[in-house]
Amino acid sequence: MMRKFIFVLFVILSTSTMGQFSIIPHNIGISYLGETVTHPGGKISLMYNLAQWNKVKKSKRGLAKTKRRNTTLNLNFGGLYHQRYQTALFFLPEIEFSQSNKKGWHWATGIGVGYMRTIIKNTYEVQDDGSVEAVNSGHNYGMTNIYFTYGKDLYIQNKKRWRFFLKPQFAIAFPNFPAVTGYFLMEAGIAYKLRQF
Amino acid sequence: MRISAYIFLLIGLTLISCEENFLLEENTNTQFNVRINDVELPVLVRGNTASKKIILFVNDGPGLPILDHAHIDLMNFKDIESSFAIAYFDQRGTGNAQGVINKGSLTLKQYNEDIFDIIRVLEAKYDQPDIFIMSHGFGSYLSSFFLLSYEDSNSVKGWINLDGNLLIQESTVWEYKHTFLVNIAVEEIGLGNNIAHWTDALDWSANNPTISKQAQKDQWRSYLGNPSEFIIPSEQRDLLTREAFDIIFTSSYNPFPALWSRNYKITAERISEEVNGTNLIPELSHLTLPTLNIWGRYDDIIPPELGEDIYDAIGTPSADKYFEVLLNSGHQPFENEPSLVSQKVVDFVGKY
Repeated sequence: MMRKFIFVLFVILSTSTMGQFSIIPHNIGISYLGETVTHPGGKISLMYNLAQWNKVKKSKRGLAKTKRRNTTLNLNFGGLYHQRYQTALFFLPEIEFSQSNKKGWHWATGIGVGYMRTIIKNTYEVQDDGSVEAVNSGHNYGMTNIYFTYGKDLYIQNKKRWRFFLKPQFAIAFPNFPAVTGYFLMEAGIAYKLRQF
Repeated sequence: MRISAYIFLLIGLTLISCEENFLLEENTNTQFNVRINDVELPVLVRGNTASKKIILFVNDGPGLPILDHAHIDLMNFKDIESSFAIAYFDQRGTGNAQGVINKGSLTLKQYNEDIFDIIRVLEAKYDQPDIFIMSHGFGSYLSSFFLLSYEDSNSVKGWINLDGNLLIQESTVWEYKHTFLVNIAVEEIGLGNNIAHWTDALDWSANNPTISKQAQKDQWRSYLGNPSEFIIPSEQRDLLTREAFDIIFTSSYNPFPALWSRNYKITAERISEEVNGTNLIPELSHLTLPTLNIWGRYDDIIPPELGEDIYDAIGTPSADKYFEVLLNSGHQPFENEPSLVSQKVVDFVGKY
């Protein structure tokens, strides 16, 4: 299972090495990531544009309307803290499709597949001799998510390097107990443009 | 710089996740996990631990969580908690139990081990308190199976059985349900209530001594009505919006695995498969611990006629076993007559 998972990750990451790849991401993001909004967490995202093109449509008046479209690879590192339940650390690469208008408002949607490690505090175990000991506890899971993003890219209109976004998402940790465990995550973040595509 | 500060903040959050205290106090609220065979079961201890008496609550099911309900006290146990502590736990395969397991470990034997280990941890962390088990519905099957299986269960001081389901043989249960309808009809006719309706029910019962077909079950139901519809009191109320928001946004609970996953179905199927066709009542003669049996008069799922046979079968001397029928309750007496349930439980636990 783990070998397959590492192989898939390798394939995803390999796609970004094709062409003119630079280790420096196009954008770097930092976010608040709340499990069911209120249970706090955070995320750092390295965002690599894989492709960019313009989609031109004619309006009813015959004027051209241009939308900028992107596919992006996001490499996310983050954590969630749910008091009394679990702390989770994860690495979650995402493939994203996005579209921006000329004012910089943009939406995006994507999916991710990654790895999650949970840490379960305050765990006790009965030992073979009948004594009770505190133990370090936690599990390794595969993680997947699906999301929608809405935000504004200030570079498109104002040439400012900042972008802000709101990103509700549903994530699943698998295999879990006994099937899967779901999480609703609300992400609110900002991204800074490091280089042009 | 800002990013590195954020990373440190994240790591800090991870490491300082609050340690829980195990204090003997009048109003405790502690949650911890018990790891058993690579699965963590969350246990919430709430109430008066200073009493040195902890009631382990084994909830209905199979496959149902309880910590979400406990968080908002949906079972109305606050009055009990002011006298003693109650330990709630999400059973294996339900709610916020965590881990990566083989579904094959969803067995009664493993559930027994879970209860055993939770009791051991409660004893160790709370300075050897007296442990009582309180169970409801299918939870009573698990509890009695545990009490019968573990010789060491002598450490349990008493068992409170709330409308417990110890007979998983459908045809036999329907025999009890048949008697239940007859007895209710006779009572209601005696009280002068809806005489025509209940006379009709009596006639139908006489002509249908065995209830096995779906049409017969539907007819049986039509005489009694559904809970809160006619004579059967309401079952556990639905969550209020405020309570649901409380669980989702402010509690320690992750509602997704409890409510929106296949976990419930998988666990329920596994356990049901194992227990179907079994009857623990003949085994109850081996139990000798103090026992309080509380039944709703209008429990249409586990009728009090069956409850009385369970009470009779328990081997405990009659001075130390009790059978209380609550006249305004159905399958969930803690919903219908919470004060009375609390009072009887507090009296029982206080006595032993």
